[in-house]
Amino acid sequence: MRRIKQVSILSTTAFATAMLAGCGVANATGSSASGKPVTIVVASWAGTNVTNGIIEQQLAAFNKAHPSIHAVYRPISGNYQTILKTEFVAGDAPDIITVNNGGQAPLFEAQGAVIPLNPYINQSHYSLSGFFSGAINMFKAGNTVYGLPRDQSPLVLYYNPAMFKKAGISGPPTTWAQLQTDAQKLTNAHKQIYGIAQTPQEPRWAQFIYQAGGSVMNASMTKMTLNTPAALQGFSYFVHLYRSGVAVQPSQVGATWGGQALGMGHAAMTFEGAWAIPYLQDTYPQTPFAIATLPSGPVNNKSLDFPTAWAITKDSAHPRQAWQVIQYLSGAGEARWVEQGGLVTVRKSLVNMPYYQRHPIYKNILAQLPHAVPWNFPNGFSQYVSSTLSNVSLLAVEGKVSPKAALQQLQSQGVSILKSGSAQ
Amino acid sequence: MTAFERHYATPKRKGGWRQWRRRDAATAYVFTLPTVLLLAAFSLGPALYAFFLSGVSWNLLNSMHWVGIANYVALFRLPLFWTAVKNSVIFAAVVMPVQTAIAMGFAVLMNQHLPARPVYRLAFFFPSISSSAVTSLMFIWIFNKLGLLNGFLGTIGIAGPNWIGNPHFALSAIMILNIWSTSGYFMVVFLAGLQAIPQSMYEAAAIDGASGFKRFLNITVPLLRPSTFFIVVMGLIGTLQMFDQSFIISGGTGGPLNSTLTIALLIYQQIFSYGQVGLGAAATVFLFVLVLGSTILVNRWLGKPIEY
Repeated sequence: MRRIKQVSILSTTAFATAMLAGCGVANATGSSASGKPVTIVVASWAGTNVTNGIIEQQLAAFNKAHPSIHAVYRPISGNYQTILKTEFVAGDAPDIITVNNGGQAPLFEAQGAVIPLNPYINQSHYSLSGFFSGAINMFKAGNTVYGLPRDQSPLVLYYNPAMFKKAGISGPPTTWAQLQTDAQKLTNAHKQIYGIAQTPQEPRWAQFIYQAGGSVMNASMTKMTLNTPAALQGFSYFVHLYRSGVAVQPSQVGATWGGQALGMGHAAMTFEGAWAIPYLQDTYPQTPFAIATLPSGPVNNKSLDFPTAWAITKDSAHPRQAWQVIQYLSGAGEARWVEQGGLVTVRKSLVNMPYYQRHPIYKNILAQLPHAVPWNFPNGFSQYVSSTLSNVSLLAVEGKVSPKAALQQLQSQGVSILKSGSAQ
Repeated sequence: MTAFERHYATPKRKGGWRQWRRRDAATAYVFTLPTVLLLAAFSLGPALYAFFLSGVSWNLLNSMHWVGIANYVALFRLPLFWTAVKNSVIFAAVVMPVQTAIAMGFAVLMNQHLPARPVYRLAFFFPSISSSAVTSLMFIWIFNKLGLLNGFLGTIGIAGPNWIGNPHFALSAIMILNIWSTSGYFMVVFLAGLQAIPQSMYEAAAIDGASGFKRFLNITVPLLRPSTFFIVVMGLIGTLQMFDQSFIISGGTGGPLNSTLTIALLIYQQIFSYGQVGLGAAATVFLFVLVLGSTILVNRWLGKPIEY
């Protein structure tokens, strides 16, 4: 237990912070009658300095306009969901949290850790129609709304234009066939340079299944659909990129993810979201990069989209004030978010903001947005998402199992989770 | 109470003695109370709570209900659990003997009158006072495919593997890290043990004509047994419970392909990532039994007092 304890010290620190935050709330409750502002704690995963700075600026602007509410930002570093769960157990989670995909949002919703926003939406006649439907739908269960979208990003093709020029390729690939031949031309295994560097995790191969006309699950997430010929076609194409030696795992060139491999100059292409832009600009300013929409498969060039949202927790003592905060963050704050750069807006009207015109690097990310599937799994799939999917695809990429056997395995395991009625 | 006290002191001031004893005991309890309370609240209590949790179904966010031994049945049927047990046992079986041998070897070397001895002692001890999170991050870079270790191997003509990315090498990489970071601490324990061995033993053996190696084998090794016992037990417990290095190097996944998944990491994942608190607690109880059993075995083997 000694070693576990060492780690628990980290979470104790988080607890302590939470308790302090909790005290703040308690004090505010006591004194709100006497005119002191109510404290609302807003938590999110610790992002880059850019995102942290933006949230703080948004809240500062909010506090100025709302003297009766004092909103404070608390970034959570480390394992975000784990720390939140322990805070929910202790009953003192922050008032507002950020939720995202991967089965955690559905878990928090199903267990009542985040509260339905419908009464507040109705009361303040808040319109949801301004959001991209994919982004808002991900945080809805039936007609119940659990979160207001914060940001999103579809996966796009990042590439190194200097490498393309050197290899005599005029532009980014637009079809699967071109992707394969371009990657071939760009690969120089001797110099540890590869056409594509990408972890074989599921949100990097699932888009190929969609591009072949298949899907991972049906739209209502009640059925696994990895056993279709289209799914096999997409997955086989992805595996073949690795088997033919034009794609590698980032760790093989000393990187931890595709964006890093591109920045280090070991990859000519990778598939990432908008989060890689500030990273590449700050960390590898010498490496040129450009962004293109995904190459088309036999059916389309669908991408995967990763929306996040603000939600109010069951532990909030002031849900009404918290609602005012997220109403601001997803309205006026949202515009500010775009002005500061960083991530992609979830409001349709903000796509034409001057910021995007001044920063053409976002052009193709916005162009990809209409062709993107919000990426999510139902409650009960945490382990399947975080380990099963990537383990099985790693085996396929390394040639230890055939693409067909890999998909069969994923299909049957997914089916059995659905059958057990999301036991979690 | 000795016979003398019973015979003389007790009849004369029976009540007084008893009272004094009682007061003495009360004082002792008062002085130990803070520690007992702290241990009960933060060590024994949670440990007992883990036994209770191993019998419930709970995902941290819902209400728990009692399921009896169902968690143990599910755990023993979980292939992932046996992978974790295998990894932990292999890890302990390799790391514990190697770190003990290295620690003993270095301790004997450091006990000689070598030049710049304090510098070496510091160098060997330094890893054990560094945070294991920091050393793990450091080794991520050393073990990088294009990192320090492979660069070194490259100069002597060996194409190094992808240490952390390859399931065949990932656990070995963590073994190397763990041996590096713990040997220094155990070396100091051995050094203390060495200082306690009477110099006259070596002199007598030298007069009898025993070679240096024979003296090491027949005097140093047996007389170090109390230190060895301590080190083997601590090493065994530490390696069977290894969590932090796997967690940091694999980014919490136990990957690639579960090759660095230890029992402690599985417990963490089941409870905090997958919301299977009962299953994780059952694995905790299993780990407790495993550590207890192996400690009892070691105690039988090395726990005897030294016989001259």
